[in-house]
Amino acid sequence: MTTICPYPGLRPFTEEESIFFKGRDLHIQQIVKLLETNKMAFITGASGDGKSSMVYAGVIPYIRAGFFKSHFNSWMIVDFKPQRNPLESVSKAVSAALGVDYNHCASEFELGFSSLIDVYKNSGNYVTDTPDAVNKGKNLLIIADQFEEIFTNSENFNDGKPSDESYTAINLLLETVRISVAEKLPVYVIFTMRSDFISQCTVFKNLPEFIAYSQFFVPQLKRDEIRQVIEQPAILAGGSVSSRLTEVLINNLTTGFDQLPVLQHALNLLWKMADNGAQPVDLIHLAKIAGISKDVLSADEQREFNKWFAARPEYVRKYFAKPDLDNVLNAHAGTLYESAYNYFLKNADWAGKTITADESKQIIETAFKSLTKIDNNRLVRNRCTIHEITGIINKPNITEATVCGVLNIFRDEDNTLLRPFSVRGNLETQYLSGDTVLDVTHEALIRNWRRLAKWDKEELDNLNEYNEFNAQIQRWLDSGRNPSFLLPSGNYAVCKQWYDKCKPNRYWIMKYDTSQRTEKEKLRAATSRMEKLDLFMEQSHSAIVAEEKSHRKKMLIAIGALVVFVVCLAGFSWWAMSEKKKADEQTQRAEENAQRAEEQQHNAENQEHIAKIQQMLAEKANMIAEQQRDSVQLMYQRARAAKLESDRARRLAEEAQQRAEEERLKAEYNYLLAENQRDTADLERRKALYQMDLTKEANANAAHLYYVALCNTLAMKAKNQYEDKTLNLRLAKTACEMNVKGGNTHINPDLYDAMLFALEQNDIIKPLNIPGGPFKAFAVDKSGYIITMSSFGEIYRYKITGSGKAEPVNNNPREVGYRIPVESASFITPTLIAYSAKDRKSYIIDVSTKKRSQLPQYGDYIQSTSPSPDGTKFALAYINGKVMIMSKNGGNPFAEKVLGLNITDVYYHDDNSIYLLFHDGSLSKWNPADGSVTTVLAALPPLHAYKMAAINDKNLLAVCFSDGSMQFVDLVNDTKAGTMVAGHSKLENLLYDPNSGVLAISSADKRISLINTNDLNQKPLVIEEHSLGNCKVKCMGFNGKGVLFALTDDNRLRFWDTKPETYSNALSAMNLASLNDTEWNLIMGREFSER
Amino acid sequence: MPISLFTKHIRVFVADTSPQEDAVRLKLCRVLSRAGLEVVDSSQGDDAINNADCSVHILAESSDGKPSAVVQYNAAKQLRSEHFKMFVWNPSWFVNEFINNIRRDVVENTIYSSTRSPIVFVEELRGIMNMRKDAVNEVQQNDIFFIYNDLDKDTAIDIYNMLTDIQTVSKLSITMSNYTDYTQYIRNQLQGCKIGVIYYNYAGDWALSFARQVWKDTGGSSSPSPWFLVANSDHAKEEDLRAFNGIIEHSVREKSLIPLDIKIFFDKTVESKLKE
Repeated sequence: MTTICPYPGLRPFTEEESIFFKGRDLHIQQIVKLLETNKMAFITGASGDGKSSMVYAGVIPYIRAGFFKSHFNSWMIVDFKPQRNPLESVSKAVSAALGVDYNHCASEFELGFSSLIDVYKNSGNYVTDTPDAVNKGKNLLIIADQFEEIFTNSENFNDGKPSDESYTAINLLLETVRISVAEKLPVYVIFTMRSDFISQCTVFKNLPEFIAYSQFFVPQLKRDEIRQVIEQPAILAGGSVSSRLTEVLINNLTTGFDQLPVLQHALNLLWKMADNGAQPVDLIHLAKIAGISKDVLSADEQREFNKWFAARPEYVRKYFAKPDLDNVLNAHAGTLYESAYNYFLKNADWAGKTITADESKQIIETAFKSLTKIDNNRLVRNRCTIHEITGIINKPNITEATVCGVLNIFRDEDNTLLRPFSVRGNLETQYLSGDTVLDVTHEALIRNWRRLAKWDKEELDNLNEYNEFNAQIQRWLDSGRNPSFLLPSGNYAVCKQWYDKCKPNRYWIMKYDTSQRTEKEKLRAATSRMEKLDLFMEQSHSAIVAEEKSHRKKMLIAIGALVVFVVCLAGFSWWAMSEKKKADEQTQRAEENAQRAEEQQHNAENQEHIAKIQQMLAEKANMIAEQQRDSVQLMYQRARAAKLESDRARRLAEEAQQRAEEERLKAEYNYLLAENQRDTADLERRKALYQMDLTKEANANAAHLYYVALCNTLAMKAKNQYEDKTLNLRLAKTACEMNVKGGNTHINPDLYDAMLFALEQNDIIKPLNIPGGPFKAFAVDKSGYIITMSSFGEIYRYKITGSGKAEPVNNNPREVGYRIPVESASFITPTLIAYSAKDRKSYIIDVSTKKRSQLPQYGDYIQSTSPSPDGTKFALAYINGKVMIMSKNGGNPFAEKVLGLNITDVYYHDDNSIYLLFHDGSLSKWNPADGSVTTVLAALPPLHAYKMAAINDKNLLAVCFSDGSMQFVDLVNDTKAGTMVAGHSKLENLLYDPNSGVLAISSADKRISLINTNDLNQKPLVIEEHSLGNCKVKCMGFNGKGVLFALTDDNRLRFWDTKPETYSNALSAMNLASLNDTEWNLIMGREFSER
Repeated sequence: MPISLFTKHIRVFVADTSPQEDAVRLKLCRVLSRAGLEVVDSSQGDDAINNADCSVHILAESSDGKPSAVVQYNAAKQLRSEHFKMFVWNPSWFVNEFINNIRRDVVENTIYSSTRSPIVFVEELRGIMNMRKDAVNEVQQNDIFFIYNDLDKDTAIDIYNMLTDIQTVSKLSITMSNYTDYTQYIRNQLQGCKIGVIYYNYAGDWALSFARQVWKDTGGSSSPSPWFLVANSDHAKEEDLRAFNGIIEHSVREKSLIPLDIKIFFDKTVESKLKE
């Protein structure tokens, strides 16, 4: 059950209430069809036929809901009423809806014709040249509601002539339709107008043609449609109306005007009487609103009614004397009239309460007289302001607020007999300013409220008398105020009586000013006319008083003489007159007799002649009639036969058409059904396909897992010691094959290790054989040469041969040698080495030029170096916490900083800042430009940090810690970007190869992890202890081709390709025998029967 | 077409009257014939009324005086249904307790007319009897009838797919530039579903008007299958739907929560039906 009353009462349905608008479904479709084909619908109908409701609650929602097909998916609705300036009204409405400047609109529209279409086309709502125009553009629907205002407002139409503005407005709208049809534009126009004004439309050129082209005359509702109007809204709102009440309402509806408003008003009251629809609406509720006699009710219902009726006040009960549907509105308005004073006292705190109950009734009477007017002897609505009504009342104690407060009961949201409506509890809608225009909601109220009819009769009399006196005043004025044109005493008495009764004032006079003047001019004219009326009355009165005085004096003198003369004259006259009369009578009688005789003779002759002619004609006519009858009878028989045949054919055609229509609807329906079924089937098919995919995926997964298991087992077996070492290779190769069969695109760490093991067992991978050493540091350059620095400061350069041997590139292996024991060394680049000798002196050596430069002494050894991005400088960190920036040619430092902590690594960043890693795990950033130092990572006791590596292509800095964890720092924001566990022991060395994206990490447990930074989800490859000769790694280097070199504790240099495919390809290329069944069963077991 | 040319063959049983009303009855029979209706009465057998499509009972002062009229009146009362309508005509506007009783007794499929003119009465009778009913079409039995505008199909299909995992769903995509008449299809399909759902994301203008139309067209608050208006919070706001408070249940949610909301509404509806 909704909380909304589904019957709006006298007011039209709003767009929101369209959900309850029933009974006009067919008519709405017909109007839409008219718009589709003609772009225009001219809706006419009698007052109260629901034209506005049909448009606002029927056509517009229907269109918006997508049942009207046009160019675009969205609609723009422009609605306006002509009011007192139709061109201004249409300009305002269009500019507001299209978002166009009003002044622009108004100046354009003054030109008529295509102006509206031009404004629409240029507003951005008519889109044609984009692919999604259908969604971007908007169709335009213009509604000219209550079009009769063109004729009812004297500003628009006076003395049978239209104003320029109204003429232009009509030209604009009709041309809009014409262009829209011609250019197939999505622009549509609806007019609504009372049909009694149709004949006046001929004044406008082209309008009659357009009306004929697109008129829709609102039909009277049929019985079943009225039933829908009554029952459907209640059902929609979750309530019900009894069938017997429906039948009574249908039968009691009088034909003619106001059928629907009277019914809607009664239904609104019925719904409220039935506890807002909580009870089924029935006859008893109709009886309670004075719409039917209680005699129709059952005995029980009559008892309930009597009890209810007894509790009503007397002024309400009197309206139940003649219960009828037509009486409901009268009773409602009458009850409001009687209770308005109490309502005013209770609800209008803001109004001065200085009036009596009688005065409140007088306010209502004057207000309603003002809100109606006589137009062609017919009562019609007359909008007027509260200020004007107050002016007509013209009493000092009655203010605009008082008038508003007293009339509010008629505007109450439950009554809605006057506009604008008020909402209870909303002061803004209750208190109205003096310039607010009031209007009777529907003319049905004027025709059905009997008290108002009586008031209006009085008003008509007053108007007639005013017009009469006004003419008299005009004559007096035209004569130059000649006293002889003043009112004589009899007329003055009548006029005075009218004046006292009507109490005219300037506002009352203005109400009947039908000229095209402005409101101010009308008021000025009315004020002037009122002054003249008062002056005329006053001067007439003065003249009558003076006349009477003079007349009395003369009369006294004349009376005596006159009496004597009259008596004598009367006697003589009487005798003479009686003699003359006798003679005249006799003469006249004789003349009459003679004339009558003559006439009778003449008539008789004529009659005889006519009778003869008639007889002849009758005989002839009889003959012709007989002939015609025979012929007509024959024709009738033929026509009858033809009619029967055509009836039969028509019926057959109708049936065929009906069948075709049904078939079409059925086909359309089945199409929709089939479409839905197709979609459902499609969905099922997609689900089945999805299941199939899942199964395939599961099978593939199972196979994959099987091969992974085989691969892993074979890899594990490949790491065992066998007498025949080629078995290791064969097992590793077979494991690689299984890995490929399992669909793996990359090699897992176990397989990588197995391959390394197998290749090591067969001496295919072995440490480099480098003479010299022991080594402190090494580097690999881009050409693949290895540069080492020994503990004695000797620098060697080697080339790796195909057999894995490192051979000196020249005959003098000691390229630079000073034989000074070296404590620490760091390759800044493969050709630039910084080192500290045991005597705590530090140097840089350029390998290519063999030049050595001493570095400033800081009393400690070099811990780490890092080249600047441009390669001209480098950062140098000492163990004791000093850091400096040096030129690669030595000299004094560009900048230096003493940090006092134990530095473990340094990194020269692209933005020329220096990152410093400390032994306590903290990371700081030193900006040499301003000397500032900021902490990026705080210390993490008891952890220690040893190395860091910049992953420049990803803007990350990796830092390794003593617990095997690694932290990533975002180099853009200097924030922590993530953590990962890279090992289970202290991480000692860290190196990043930007070419392969591999991050190599050596740990204290004698392993090197290879992390693919391009895919962190990939499990890292591990170079196990056996590959490192059970030694720890001292330092590492990449050759730029993905080959990792490591200097181990045993002073040997080892290398591995970080791309495992290199080894699997090598194994494939070897001519190795496959495992035979015996080997397979022996090594793998029988459970892996399928190879 | 503004003028209805559709007529079907209708058999009208005209009940007996007292002799005083014979003239009225005779005139009515002639008017009925002229209107193309077949008149049957008791002269064609006692069961003539059973073969008729409707019956007419003329009321008058002496209506309760003719036993056969009362019998026929009671027989018609038993017959009245969607397929048999009973017309009670009181052209003389006479009112007594017997007639008041009849007026109180008016229920569905009974039409009481007090028009004086037999022409008007027969016009009304023919209009009511010629009324077309919705064709009965195949109806899919599903839990949910899901409707959306083609503009919103991307998100609507996702929601539909999610919904089909938990309930059976019929769907309908509305295309505004398509000339198909969806109204009857919606009316029929809703009968086969427990709830109707209107979904929108971009097409708010359409959805709000469309919801009103279909709500009205399918029985409003009295419909056994209620509507649920649900909007995607990407482009809809709660206040857009305020006008539907107390009329249609509605919600605005992010896409992933919409199927859940529909499910809750569905469960609530089914539960309240079970309680009834």
